[in-house]
Amino acid sequence: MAAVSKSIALEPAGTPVQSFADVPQVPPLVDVEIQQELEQFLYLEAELLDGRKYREWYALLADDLSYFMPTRANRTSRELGRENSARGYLANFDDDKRTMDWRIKQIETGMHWAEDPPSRTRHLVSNVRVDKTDVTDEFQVKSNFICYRNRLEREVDLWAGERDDVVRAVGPRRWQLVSRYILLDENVLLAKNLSVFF
Amino acid sequence: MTISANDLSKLTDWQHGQISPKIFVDEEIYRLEMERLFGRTWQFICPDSQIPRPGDFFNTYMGEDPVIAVRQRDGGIKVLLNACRHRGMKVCRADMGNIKAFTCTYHGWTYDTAGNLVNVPNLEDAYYNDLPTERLGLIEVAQVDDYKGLVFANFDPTAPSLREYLGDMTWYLDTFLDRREGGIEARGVHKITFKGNWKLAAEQFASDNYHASMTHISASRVWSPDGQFADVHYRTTGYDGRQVTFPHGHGMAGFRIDTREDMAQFYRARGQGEIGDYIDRNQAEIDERLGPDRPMYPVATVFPNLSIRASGSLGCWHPKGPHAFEAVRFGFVDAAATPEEKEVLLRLDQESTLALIEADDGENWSEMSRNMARSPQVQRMPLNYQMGLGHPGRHDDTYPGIVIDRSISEFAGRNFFRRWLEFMVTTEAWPEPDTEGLYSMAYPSSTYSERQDVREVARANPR
Repeated sequence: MAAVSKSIALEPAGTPVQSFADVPQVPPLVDVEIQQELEQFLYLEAELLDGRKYREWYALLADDLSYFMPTRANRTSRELGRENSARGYLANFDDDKRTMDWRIKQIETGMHWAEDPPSRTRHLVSNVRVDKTDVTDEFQVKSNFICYRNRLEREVDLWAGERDDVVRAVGPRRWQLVSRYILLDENVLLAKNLSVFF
Repeated sequence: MTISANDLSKLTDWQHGQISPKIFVDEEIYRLEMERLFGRTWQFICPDSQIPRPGDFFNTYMGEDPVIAVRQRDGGIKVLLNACRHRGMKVCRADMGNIKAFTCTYHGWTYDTAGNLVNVPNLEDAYYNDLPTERLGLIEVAQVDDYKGLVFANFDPTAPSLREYLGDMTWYLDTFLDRREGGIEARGVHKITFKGNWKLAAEQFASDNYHASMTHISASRVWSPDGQFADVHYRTTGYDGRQVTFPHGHGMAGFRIDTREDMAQFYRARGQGEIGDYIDRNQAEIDERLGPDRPMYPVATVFPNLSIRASGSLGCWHPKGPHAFEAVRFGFVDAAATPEEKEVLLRLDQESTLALIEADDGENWSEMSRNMARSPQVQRMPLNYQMGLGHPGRHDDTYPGIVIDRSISEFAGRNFFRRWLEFMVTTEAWPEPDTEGLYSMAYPSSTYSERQDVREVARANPR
């Protein structure tokens, strides 16, 4: 704020002062340690997924998990508010802890043919934006992602999107994912499945 | 040079259960398919409840033909070819919504929601006011009809009515379309790409109960690690169920003779107790509407490319070339369910069915496709559809259609290709089903006159 005040003070006398009130504002910064720790949490998560450590990843999920990826429709700009499917409609993911357990159990059978032989994935996470919530120990964490998947001999899939998470501190450097809303930047899913986690 | 009817027949030897991989990969056969099959069959468009109000539209395909379904002011539905009459540009690029008019982004030609050309920029000056605009409306698909909330369309004006085309398949479709008051309500659209030929999926849902216990073994083990679920619900011995097929090509892959209690138990065994409870709560109503005999979990294909996995979704396989297709599926719930029930039912079914089950199908289809498309040796290898060959089907007092006394069979698959071939080789008129061909396959040991008798019995006892 001090820098802005200085520039106003430098305006020559008599010149109308411009209001910057409608310039989008960087949200209030959280403690730099929280920012770093939550970034590292997302990187830890990516490392577990790319390392196929699904049960360890599962332990990062809160019992009251909501994990949702809507479908996205091509809409006119007039109807853009209905671009993303609402709850209660077919979605790409609409999981709770129980159904997430099903998915991981399926991989653990060793007979989930879509993932046997397993895919090679690489999750790239960036644009991490952290904000406080009304609940102590819970933070909103938004991030962008690219997930690259290479499968069998020549199958390549590339996904990009944004995640809007709520994470909860459950111990020193321990966090759990309470809710995740994933906006995948696709309409028709271009891959033959979404047998990866985002 | 167009492939001959004789060559097509040689490639599609349904009588002996030997189908050439070429019909899944050949570019010319694909092109002919778009004309001869998709240009003349009843194609599923969308649930009626997807477009409830005038001006609501849904953008989809019939084969490779782009069409828009639009609710009219009088409550009817028109299906219009999504191509401007000027230069063929799509007049609608949004998936769905509500619109007052379709305006082409190229030169601004504008059509109302009935497809009439209502505005042409520069009509007076550049066109000398001399353009027959009344004849340049969007091309209307010849026939549109609705069966209990499912909208279908057919480009061919000479094709029989939808009701005749569906025939007694409706008895099975009613299992989910009409099991409670108010029928079904559409709940969203999901689109996904698969590698492979669309017929791999369509025939699988028509005829293939066989694959469930192996392809979907991981899903069944999730629900019972000891394998019990699969043994009870997937790998039937085959003796305790039925497969059904129809002259128009539809197929019900295989169902157990279950009572409604078992269906509730089926869902509980999959950790979806909420769905089991829902069925229990509404069992009396369902029984009253449907009677006690209907298979409650039909897996089926309405010929050629609408497949039903009637636990909460149904979808079309849209061909995108011989080696790819797009699955466009709709979620649905009983309209009579409460809002909370609807949400839970849809979510749980989606999570179990679309999530756990379908990925493994996709793996089969893409690797089969790769083999068939690229390998000359594989292309010479006829695909084997001989399960149950030579064993007769029959008419059944309870189950309409040609009934096979096994829940695991490939009879309906042979019939699927029989009917496919009829469309591919019959060009001078809309192909009425060759019931003699089907019945000789169904009742191989009977004489021609015996088969005629069977046909008479069937006609005398419509459902």
